This record gives sequence, C-alpha cells and structure tokens, in this order.
Amino acid sequence: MEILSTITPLMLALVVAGVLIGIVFGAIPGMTATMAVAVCLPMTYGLDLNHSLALLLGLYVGGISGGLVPAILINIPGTPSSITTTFDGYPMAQKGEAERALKIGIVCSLYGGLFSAVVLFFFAPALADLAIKFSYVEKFLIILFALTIIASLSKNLLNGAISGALGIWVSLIGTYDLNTGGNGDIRLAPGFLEDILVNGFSLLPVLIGMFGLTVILEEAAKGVQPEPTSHFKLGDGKPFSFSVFKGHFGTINRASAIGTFIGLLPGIGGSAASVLAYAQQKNLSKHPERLGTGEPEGVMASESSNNGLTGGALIPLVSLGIPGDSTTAVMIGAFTLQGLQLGPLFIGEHLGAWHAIMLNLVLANLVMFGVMFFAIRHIAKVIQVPKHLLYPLIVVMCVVGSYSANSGIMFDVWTFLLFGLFGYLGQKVGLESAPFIIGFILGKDAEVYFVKSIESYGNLAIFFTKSPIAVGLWVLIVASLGYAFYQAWRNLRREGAR
Amino acid sequence: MKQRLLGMCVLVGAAVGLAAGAAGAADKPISGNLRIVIGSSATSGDTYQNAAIIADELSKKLDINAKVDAVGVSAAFQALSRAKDGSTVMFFHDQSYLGHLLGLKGYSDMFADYKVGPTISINPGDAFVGAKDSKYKSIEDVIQGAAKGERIRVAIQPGGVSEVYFGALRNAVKVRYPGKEANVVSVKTGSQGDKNQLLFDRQAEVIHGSVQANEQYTRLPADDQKAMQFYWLPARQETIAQANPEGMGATTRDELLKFTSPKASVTMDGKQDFTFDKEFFFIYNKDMDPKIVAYLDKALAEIFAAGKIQATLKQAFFIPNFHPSKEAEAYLKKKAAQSQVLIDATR
Amino acid sequence: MGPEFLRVTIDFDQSHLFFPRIMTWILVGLALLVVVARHREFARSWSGMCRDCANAAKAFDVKRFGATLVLLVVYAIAMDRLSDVWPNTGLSFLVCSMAFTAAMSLLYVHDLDRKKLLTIGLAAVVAPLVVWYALARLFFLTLP
Repeated sequence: MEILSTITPLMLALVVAGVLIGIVFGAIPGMTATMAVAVCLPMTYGLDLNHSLALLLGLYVGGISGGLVPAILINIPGTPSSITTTFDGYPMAQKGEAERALKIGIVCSLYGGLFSAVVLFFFAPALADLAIKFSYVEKFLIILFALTIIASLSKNLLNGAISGALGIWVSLIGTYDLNTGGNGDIRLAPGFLEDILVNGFSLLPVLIGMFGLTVILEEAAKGVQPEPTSHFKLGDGKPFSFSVFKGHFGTINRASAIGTFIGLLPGIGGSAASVLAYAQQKNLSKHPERLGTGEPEGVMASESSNNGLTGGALIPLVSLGIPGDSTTAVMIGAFTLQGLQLGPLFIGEHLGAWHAIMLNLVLANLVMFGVMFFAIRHIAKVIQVPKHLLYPLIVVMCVVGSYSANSGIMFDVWTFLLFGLFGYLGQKVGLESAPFIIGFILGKDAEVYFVKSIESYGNLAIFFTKSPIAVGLWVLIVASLGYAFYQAWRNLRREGAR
Repeated sequence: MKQRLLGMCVLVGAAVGLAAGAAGAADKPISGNLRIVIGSSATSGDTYQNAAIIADELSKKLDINAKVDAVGVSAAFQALSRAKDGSTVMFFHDQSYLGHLLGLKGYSDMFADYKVGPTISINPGDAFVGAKDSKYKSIEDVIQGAAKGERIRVAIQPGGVSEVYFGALRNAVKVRYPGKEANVVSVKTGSQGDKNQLLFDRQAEVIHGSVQANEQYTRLPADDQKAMQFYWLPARQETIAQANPEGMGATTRDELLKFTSPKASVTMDGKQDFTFDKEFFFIYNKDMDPKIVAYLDKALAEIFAAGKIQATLKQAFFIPNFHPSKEAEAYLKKKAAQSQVLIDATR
Repeated sequence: MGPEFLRVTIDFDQSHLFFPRIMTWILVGLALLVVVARHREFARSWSGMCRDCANAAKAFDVKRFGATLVLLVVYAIAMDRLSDVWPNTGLSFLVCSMAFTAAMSLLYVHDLDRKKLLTIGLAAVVAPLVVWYALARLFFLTLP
C-alpha cells in the first residue's frame, strides 16, 4: 500500500484534468485520444515522470471512453473504436434509452479498463513473448479474420462484401507508404490527381464524413423536419439498472479480453478490437438477429473491448519498447524526453515508473467512471438541442476534427466533404457504411502484411504452414465465414417462407 | 434581418482579427504564431522530439508561440511553399534531400526550390543490430560472411537514411570483395517493431535499429529469442564522443564508441570509412525575407550560447549541432553529393 | 518451402501494384456476382424506378439539400483562402465558422421567429468562439 503514498494532490488534479480533456477530445467527432495526448505532450515537459503519466494516462483513458457519447447520442462515432457502439447504442437512444445506453457503456468501459490493467500488471512480460509469436503472416490472418466479420455485420451479404472490398480498395489509393516498408510509388490515382492524392485519404475524415455528414445530408434532403418522432425524449424508455448485466458477465469478460489481446499486438490498429468483439458477440449471442436493433449486449461488447485495449496496448510498450497502438506511440516521446528508456528491461530497471503507470492507469479509469457516470444526465441533453442549431455545430466540429487529423491539412477537410456526399449517394444504391469503413481501416494493414509475408517466404503455402497459431486462425476464419453464410441462408429461407 | 446578423458576425470577426493583428505588429520580423511543420507524420519519432525541443526554446526566446505540426513530407513542403512571410517553417533531417535523390514522390530539390536553414542537432543513435546468438559477432564478421558467399539479409526502411546505410555496407563489400556485394540483400520493412520482429523470426541477419530502441535488448541473456547485439553505429566517432558519458541505459559512451569508425569499419573507398550523422535542420520558403533568416540565425545562436539546450538534447540522447544557415547549406550540399555516390553504388 | 505451384515472387519496384490488382479483381468479381444474382431485380426496379423517383422527388427538399452542399463548399474554400490573410491564428476558421453556423441554422430552421433568431445569432457567435478559444488558444492546435 506504500504505493498509494505517492499520490499527490497535483497528481490527482492532473488525472482529473487529463480525463476531462480526453473525454472532450474523444467526444468530438474526428478528434481522438491520440490527438489529445499529442496536443498535451508539450505540457508535460515541465513535469516529472509521475505527473506526466498522470496527465497522459488520464487523456488516454478519457479519450478512448469519450467516443461513446456521440456514438450513442447522435450516431456519429467519436473515435474509430466506437463505430460498433453506434450499432446498438443509437437505436437504444431512439427508443428513449439514451441515458441507459450511456451508463451501460460507461460501466463496461470501466470494467474493460480495469480488466486490462490487471492483465497488464500480472502478465505483461509473458504476453509480450506471446505477441512476438505473431509475425507478418499471423498478423495478416488476424486482419483477414477481422475482415470476415464484415460478412456477419452486413445487412445483405453481397452488398456488405462489395462495400468492404470497396473500402479496402479506396484505402489503397495514394502511395504505398515507405514508413510501412512500401516502395513509395503511387497507385490507383489518375495522373492529374497524383499531387493531391499522394498521401491517400485519411481514416478520420472518411469516418466522420460517412457517419456524420451523411446523416446531415439525409436530413437536409428531407427538409430537416422538426418533427417530434425523430426528436426522441430523454429517458422515457427503460431506466438504467445494474441488473442489465445479469447473464452478460461472459460477454463483458470476453470483449475485454479481445480488446486487451488486440491491444498487445503491435501494428494492428485499435479499432479492430471493438469490431472483433462485436462480431463475436453477434456470432455467440442467443438472439443474433436482435443485435443492431438496440440490444444492451451490443453496447457492452463494443465498450468493454475498446477500453480493454488501453492496458493491452501498454503491454508491448513497457515490455518491448514497441507501442501497441497509435496513442501509446505518442507516449514514447514523453518517456524519451524524461530520459527514460523503454524496452524488455524497463519494468525491472524502473520499478518506480512502472508502478506509477499502473497507479495512474487505475486512477484514470476510476476518475473516468466517476466523471462520466454522474455527469451523463447533463451530457445526454445534447439531443434536446434543436436540429437547426445542432447540425451546423456538428459540421464545424467535424471540420475542425478533419483539419486536425494530420496536424492541419486542408485536403482532409475536402476528404470529409467528399466522403459525406459519397456516403449519402452510396446508401441510395445499397452501399453499407460499416463494412466500407471496416474495410477502409484494415485495408492498408492487410496489404502490408500480405505482401511482406510473400516477400519474406515467396510461397503462399506459408499462410497455412507458418505456425500452429496460423492454423488456429484459419479455423476461426472458416468458422466465422461459415456462420455468416449459414445466417444469410437462413434469413433467405425465412423470407422465402413468408 | 438575416443580413444584419451576418454583418454582425463579420464585424465581430474583423474586430478580433484587428486586435490580434495589432498585437503582433511590433518591429520584429516574426511574431505571434510560428508554425513548424515536420517531414514526419509521427508525433512519436526523433524528428518530432527535436522539433519540440527547439520550438520550446524559440518560443521563450522570441516571445512567440512556436507550434510543431507533424504533417508529413509532402504536406510540409506544400505548407512551406505557401508561407513566404515566414509564418511557417519546416524542420526535418537528411531525408529531405535523400528523398529527392532517390526519386521519391512528394519530394522536390530542397537546394533549388527552398532555402536551407540552420542545422540544430544530430540523432547519433542509428545502429545496425543483429541477434545475440548470431555467428556474426561484429560488422567485420558480417562483411566476411558476405565475402564467403553467405546471404546477409539487412532489414531497412526503404527510401531514406536507412537505404544509405545499407548502400554503404554493400559498397564496402564491393570495394573489398568485388562481386560479392550481391550477397548483401535488403529486406524492406517499416516500423521498429517490424524490424525487431524480423530478427526474432530470424528472417534477417542484420536490422537497422537504434541505440535508444535496442539497447535493452543487447543486455538480455543470449538464450532469449529477443536478445540482440550492436554491430555498427554509422555516426561519426566525434559525434558519439559528445554524448553524456553514461551513454544510454547501461551501455556507456565508451562502449558505444567500439561500434563507430574506426573500430567498426565500413569503408567508403578502401581508405576512408563511411560515416553519417543524421542531422536535423530548418528549411525555409525560397522567398522568405533574408531579414527573417538572419533573425532566426541570431536567436538560435543565442539559445545555443546560453548552453541550456545542450543538456536537454543530450538527456534525450541527441547531440547539439548548431550551424547558421550559410554554413549549413554548403555542408549539406557536400553531404548530398556523398550520398549520391552511395545511392548510385546500390543501383 | 511449400509446393511449387504456390510459389509467388514480388518485384519490389512493382510491389505497390500487387495488392491493389487483387482488390480490383475481387471488386470486379463481386460486381459481376451482383449482376448475375440481381438482374431480375434490376429489371423490375428499372420499370418501377420512375414511379419511385416521382415519389422521392416530392419528399426531396431540393432547396435545403442543394444549399447545404453549396454552403459546405463555400465554407471550405473561404476558410482556406482567408487562412493566407491571417496565417496560423485560426481567425479564418473563427470568422468563417460564425458565418457558416448562422447561414446553416437559418437554412434549416422552420417557422423563424424572434426568439429563434436570437438563439441562432447567439449560437453562431458563441459556439465558434468557444471552440476557437479552447483549441487555438488553450491547446495551440493549428486551425485554418
């Protein structure tokens, strides 16, 4: 317990400030935990390590958690990892259960966060040794597995598959990034657009364009009617109660574990965590057909997993010196500037810093819960703001988010506008935005790991023979696809019977 | 009514604008906000860290807000092209001209299209690293291995400093054992994590790592799959000699000096060793007022004369290396010519 | 390693095309599948299209939709242009956002009255100001 004596009032204040700022960044569409940490990094130069960590981990946890607020209230994921929260969170809000959905999300965020902290504390070095068993080949298979999820998430199997493939295709536009080992050559861009498309489209503007702007354009096309039906009231549905978690303990634990696992694999983006967890939930649920219509278990799976990511992503950071996601990558800078070196000997050599990480991570989760659970009633009132005031503000925030996605580039604002229109028109011809965006998120990683696997081994057989892990992943891929086809076939028959 | 409202907005905006403008209209060539765009899009790398340190010092010195934006190469050059007034400057390392020499997309000739600013610092930490249980115990072993016809796979990041180091190693084999350089092949990969992974999988004999990222790995027991050893630091001996005597982690400066030329030798031409300092410097808009160039040169000279920045840089294992714009340009031009030779050698 | 027929080599200089080509073929394949699977549906919907269009057009608010698009484009262009006037201060963002917020609110509002006008004006001035102050001044974020 002597570790608790290291808590100073300043440290508490910094955790609280970090969590608050993080939540705001997470809740603004297009702004992420990564950005919050990057923006506040210079503020830590004047602080010692303990206090820097208090601020940074507060920002991290707050930023990951804040994303659920707009996801549930206005159907726009605040961060890429809360895409799956919109699937059931927003329908719940439409049923008048906004507050309930938010509280479920917050409780699960806390659980996922603490779950991952425990895993981090007890198993970090062992899990790091597991992580390095995943080379290019296994990482490609994990991404392939995540992509098969598109099948179970789509409303129509064929439309979903096309949308997902198109998402991957669009993500490849631009140069084959040197930073990932590509050759720096441009592809899929017509000659006269090469200068503009050299870096391709960025995820955040595409995401908030397709989720945020598309909704607004649709409303505009319908004349932005101030009708009461679309303007649901707060809390006239079921109130929140902890009994909602009864029978879902397995769900939350499984989702947290998936989040932590994806977090600990360097080079696989954090947003894959919630996608995988949600899809597993759908595959294992007693009523898979109800997911997507406002089922609490959907929110649980999504939110436990994206906070489960936090502790997971810190595992390779403290035991390999390699970040597990983009936010922890920025944190490396904080350690370097403190003159502290991360790597396989970090925990043993810097026990004080290690304990400070753990303490601040747990504190940040508790503070996040305290702040959000009790403030949520007031935050939820956002949906009572009339549309003619709310929509312009959403656009302004999305524009700021897009512009800042790569530290101030106007092209990203145009990307946001372009994909807003694309999403609007696409839906008219059956494009499904969730599969598209999942394909977009995973496309570049899929390319790198696929091409690099072949470059290393020169034979496609390696994908099956590399390791027992690879074989295990194939089993999962086949099972996931088989299940999706079975579901599609059953739906077809049911429709036929009607 | 609508028009009145709109008018009101514009008025408020204009008033704010005027106020801000007036506050910044003092006699200094730059004031208010200075945007420092960097050629890397990562806020986690050495470019960002060096930029952040110098931005912090400049802010204090000139009483401005210097803000580092990690926009990436092509966006950084674009932003720079628009800012003739010196409100935006760029900060990057040797990659900025190497990219052009290698003919990469998004790069233009830095010396012709832009103005080279002062150099600031060096990251001396780049290193060639191998597995601890490897039969090669030194860079000389690696070269001898290639001479004996063994395949040496070197994991590098394509299109940059990393490729020049690889070119140097290959060139050294070519100079000493002509024809054997074909045994040295590159494995093109990305992040530090990916390169480490290639070593763990024994899919590469040598990886381009760094003192900062790999030092702890060199202290693991040899039977650990993750254990590594240093082969070669391309930085100049004099550069490493300026680091703090504690070095990095538990590896002292003197130990690190064993991996630089002349003790670890990668020859250029049989007489002289190849060395390369990864240098960070400013790049300006071509048409930026010479007054601003002089102003920044002077401010930076004073910052370095004050002596505090050196400690900050060294704590993060960077080496202070200030040279005003004129000197920097001549120096970097020479360095670019040397790199051109190596790039030609690998093609 | 592995059977001969699964052997693949990738030329690094051309490696940027390898995966995109696969994806292009997958897309083409899926598109053909759609045509095969749904050609009857298409034929049916083609004849039904005109009726649907007529219905859709009735509900379609051309004014609000079109004006939204125009406003968005003007907003982005104006913000970009003005940022050369006030570089790195975010003032271009502030001014343009105020104008944009006001214009979009006025476009979307129904039954405009004095009270609504007042809230619109207030929101258009206060909200961008708060955003600008918090991000540009407190966090030194670069805004246009």
